[in-house]
Amino acid sequence: MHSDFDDEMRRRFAAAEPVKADEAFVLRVGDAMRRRRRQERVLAVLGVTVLVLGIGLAAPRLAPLFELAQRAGGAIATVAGSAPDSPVAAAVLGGLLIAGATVGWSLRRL
Amino acid sequence: MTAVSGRAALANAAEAAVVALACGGDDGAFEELVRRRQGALRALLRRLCGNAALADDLAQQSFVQAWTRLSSLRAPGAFGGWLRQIAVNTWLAQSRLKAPVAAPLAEEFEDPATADPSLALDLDRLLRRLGEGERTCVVLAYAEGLTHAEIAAMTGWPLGTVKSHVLRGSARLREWWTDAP
Repeated sequence: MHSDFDDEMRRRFAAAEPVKADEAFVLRVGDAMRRRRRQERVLAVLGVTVLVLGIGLAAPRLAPLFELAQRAGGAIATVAGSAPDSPVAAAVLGGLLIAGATVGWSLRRL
Repeated sequence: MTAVSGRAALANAAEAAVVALACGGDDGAFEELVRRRQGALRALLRRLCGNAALADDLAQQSFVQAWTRLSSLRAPGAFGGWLRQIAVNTWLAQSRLKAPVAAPLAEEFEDPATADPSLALDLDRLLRRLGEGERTCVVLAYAEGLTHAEIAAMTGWPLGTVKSHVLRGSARLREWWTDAP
């Protein structure tokens, strides 16, 4: 439905635009962008610090998990017909298996 | 000198090229986009929220959000519509969080670039009398030229709600205009 009123409305909106471009506003947005970047950097540093501290504090409790991953990796390598090169390689393989299974299970629940 | 000439080159470049540079991490290119788009975005937000100071805050938030999400922009040519979507989302989030914005003084809308200030002030006063839903739909339909379906997609509101907001809002404006001396 198109009417004279619609035309009048569009004419009035068109008559009022645009707001005058303002360099101060550009500077203001630039400042906000730099502030945001600084905040992100601080958060990233904080995140890494917390992660490192967390791993350090939790390391004694991670031993059983490491052992579990090592056994899982060793089992896969054995089934695949090759012995794992080292306990760490077995643990990495097992860790990947456990992480993959966890992610797959999480995705199915979504 | 290099910065000045770089800025001049950006000012003359096609928008798609400037968007592509900004997507590649060039902050100067993004500032050029702010320079080009600020007028339209601030005007839209002034219409939506009816308050010039708040509109500028929301426009700043929208630009910063756009800057952080540039990687999600699929095509440089879609930058304008994508930015408008971010601005409308910012406005909707604001209107959900905060109490209705107090009507500002009419003088706030006076702008030397306005082609016909009397028409603008008249329209702004009347728009502020509408509810937020009606005002949002009327502004997007008449000022931005969006269809009802596009407004529904942009706001996430049901199509029927958008249609009734546009219908009721424009009917009220027509009535107030008729009553106006």
